Amino acid sequence: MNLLTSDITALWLTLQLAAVTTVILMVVGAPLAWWLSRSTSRFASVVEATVALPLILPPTVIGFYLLIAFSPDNFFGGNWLALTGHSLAFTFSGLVVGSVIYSLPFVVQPLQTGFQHFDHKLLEAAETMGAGILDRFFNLIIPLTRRAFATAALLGFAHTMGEFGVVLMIGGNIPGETQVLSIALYDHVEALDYHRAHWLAGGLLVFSFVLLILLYGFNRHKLTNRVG
Amino acid sequence: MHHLFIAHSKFFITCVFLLQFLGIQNTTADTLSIAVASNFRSVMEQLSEAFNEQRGDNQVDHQINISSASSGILYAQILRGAPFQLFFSANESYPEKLVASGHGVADTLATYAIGTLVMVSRGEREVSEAKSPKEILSKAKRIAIANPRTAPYGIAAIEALESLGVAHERQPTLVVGNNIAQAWQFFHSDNVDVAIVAASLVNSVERIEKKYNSDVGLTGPDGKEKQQSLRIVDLSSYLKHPVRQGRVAIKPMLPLAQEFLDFMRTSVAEKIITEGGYLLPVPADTKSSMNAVIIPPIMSP
Repeated sequence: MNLLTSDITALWLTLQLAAVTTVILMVVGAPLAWWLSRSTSRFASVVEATVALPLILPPTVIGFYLLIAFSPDNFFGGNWLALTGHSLAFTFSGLVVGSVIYSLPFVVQPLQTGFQHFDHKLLEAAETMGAGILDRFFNLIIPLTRRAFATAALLGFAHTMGEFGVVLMIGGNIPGETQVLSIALYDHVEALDYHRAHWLAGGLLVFSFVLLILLYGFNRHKLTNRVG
Repeated sequence: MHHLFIAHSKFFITCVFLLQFLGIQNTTADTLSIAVASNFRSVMEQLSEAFNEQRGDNQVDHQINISSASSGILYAQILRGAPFQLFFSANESYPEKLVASGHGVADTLATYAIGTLVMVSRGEREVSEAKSPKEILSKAKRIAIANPRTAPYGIAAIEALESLGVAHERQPTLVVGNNIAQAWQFFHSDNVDVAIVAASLVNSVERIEKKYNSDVGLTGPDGKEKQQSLRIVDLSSYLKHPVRQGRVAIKPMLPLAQEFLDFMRTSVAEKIITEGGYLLPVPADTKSSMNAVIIPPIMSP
């Protein structure tokens, strides 16, 4: 049984992809969600719709456009090649780009909801007391919206773990580089290797379930704390 | 409670009626579902067109559905009861296994085409200036092949790499397509510089380009025409055996399926197969008659 080598490589790769994607999304998503929660301009709804697009677009649409964008003949792919010396398609970096787009709404939307419920008078008060922007962000916004941050991070992480369609199109099934768990599982199923498929499928199921229990448990805990 | 039951049963009957209606809609027309290995898809489309044409006036009431994937994926689907009546694989062993497992009809087992494995690179790129196949492979940044776990052409590609002595060294540069068509698409979209695929795919692209463009060249996925020539190297000599593609009918055998298999033996069908980039197997019973085997047109650089 060589369940271990290639499947553990896939597991490790998937965890790395989910972690890197989540970190990028938290950094990019937080200011974006803040702006969306505050802005009254019409342009904001266009941005909001763009952020939500990956929720309803088939992954094949994203995969197809990414594949075109990654081609060295195009602006994005060409410049990336010139800057880094290698193309984005079939690389870990390419998957990160795809995952950031694919999981964007799962991070931005919970944050936006959290920020909307945030009492902005508190910020003004803090400002009059001389708290700087970073001070206000780390000592006021984050503690008071930590539920939204936790939800965003967990959903972004879990959704990236479960990514399949986009990776199938831009990944190229390379062990250690782009062969994530869902692709390895698909590979096992299609090669009729049900034994290994069961391990991966069962593992992903348990993992996702535990993650959601943690998430809902955390939210419920906060709720009872507030009531009590 | 009683009312609820009546409401439920009415709803249930409506559902059953609707489902049956939909079912009838699907089965009134004689439908033939063909599972075909990705490398043979475009040829199969032409074959079914020619079959429809030939059948023409006498029986219009039929429909052919073609599904393509890698042979291994189709094999697995048929084992799980996928509703195909004919299976055209890229090897002989999957159809044989289906007969052994009781899914395939034994006396329909046959070799329908012999494929050619080729290595493609772009003519104007540095990689194509290499003198030998081995040198092309060594210069390639990324090499696209089909998944050797499920695609016979992927296995053949690995075999060719092994006999060229570069399998181990070039392993990190391999980009694996879900089937041979995806491997070819990786090359076609310019995301890899070398692909090892079936000659038929390269042929079919040339045909499509001729159909839609006056100039022969590769059109990128963005629709921009790229005036590029391809360098194509035949890798057959690096394989122990040619890629013999087998087919089998799936139980229960439909009359329309038999009709299609009979059509495959006509000269019209054989011409489509050979023009698609395949050799015809020499039939065992007519070996002495020395059937002329037409060599497929493979583009030169």
